[in-house]
Amino acid sequence: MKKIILKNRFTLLAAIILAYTSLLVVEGLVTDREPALLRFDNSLFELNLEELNEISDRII
Amino acid sequence: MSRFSFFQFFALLKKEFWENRILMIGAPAVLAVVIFVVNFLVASQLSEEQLGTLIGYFSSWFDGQNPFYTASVIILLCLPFLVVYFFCSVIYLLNALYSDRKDMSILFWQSMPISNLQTVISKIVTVVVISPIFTVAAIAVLYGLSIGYLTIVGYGLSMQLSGLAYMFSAVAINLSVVYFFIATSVLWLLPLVGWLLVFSAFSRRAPMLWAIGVYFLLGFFEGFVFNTRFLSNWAQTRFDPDNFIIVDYSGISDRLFSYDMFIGLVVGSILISGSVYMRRYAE
Repeated sequence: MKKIILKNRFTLLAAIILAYTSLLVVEGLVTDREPALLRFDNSLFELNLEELNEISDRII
Repeated sequence: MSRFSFFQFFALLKKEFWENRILMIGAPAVLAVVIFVVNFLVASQLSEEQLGTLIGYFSSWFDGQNPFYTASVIILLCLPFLVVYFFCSVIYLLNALYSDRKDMSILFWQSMPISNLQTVISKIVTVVVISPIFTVAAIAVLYGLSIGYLTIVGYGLSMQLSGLAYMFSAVAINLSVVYFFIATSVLWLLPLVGWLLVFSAFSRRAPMLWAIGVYFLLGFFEGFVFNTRFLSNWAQTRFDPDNFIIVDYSGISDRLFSYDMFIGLVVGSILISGSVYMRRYAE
């Protein structure tokens, strides 16, 4: 296995990307991760871009 | 760690500093000079009365205030330095394992008694510990010059300047928060650090294109084939401003001791290990 992974730089890159994506997918499944970037809360006003998408869907 | 290993590692850090001093010192220093010159030009356009009002406002705002509170407010003034630090770090990490392969100096360094692991760790320590020192130093000089200018002008106008002493305390606290903010932010973004190092060690040309292109391709592939968004969710969570911006010490401890930090360190470690292995293909 080690020989195959370290055969050349492309196989090593494929192995790294595979390990990286596998870990992220498993972690995402376990924690049910969702991006928090769409929510922008502060004391002055609340902006939720997901709600804006819903509004635009209704208009369409 | 033996005495020899310690000096070996110290020499590696010195090498990183000498090879990248323009990014580490030059960029924040130029920014500090630009900000100071612009502020000085603006101040020189004001009349003596307007300048006195401004200094009086500053002095009264800081006077008697808890420096820990005011320090968390004036951290916003450091935002340009943080943005410049981010871009300089990205450039540094992309070139970290690429430039020595490009100019073939890797052959010399690999003939030295230094492992690939030591080399890669020295690059990470440079970004987390060494480089922020110079950014904070540039901010400190800028603050020092600004407070000095306000004090001289205020003294010339015979003003009450006790608030500037509070401002000085707030600045001292602010500088330490900025240093830990940068250091913890780099740890928070360790997956990004690892990703950039992998492609820095992998690509024969245009490492930035490889690093960005492969991530977008993976995200597109995931969405198109599996109709899921794990990769983009991960990236968005990492760059979420709520997770990113720290204004006081409690924010630093909250970030350091969290699950998201832990999983980020795990993912980052996998990628950094990959970059260490990748460095063996130096042809």
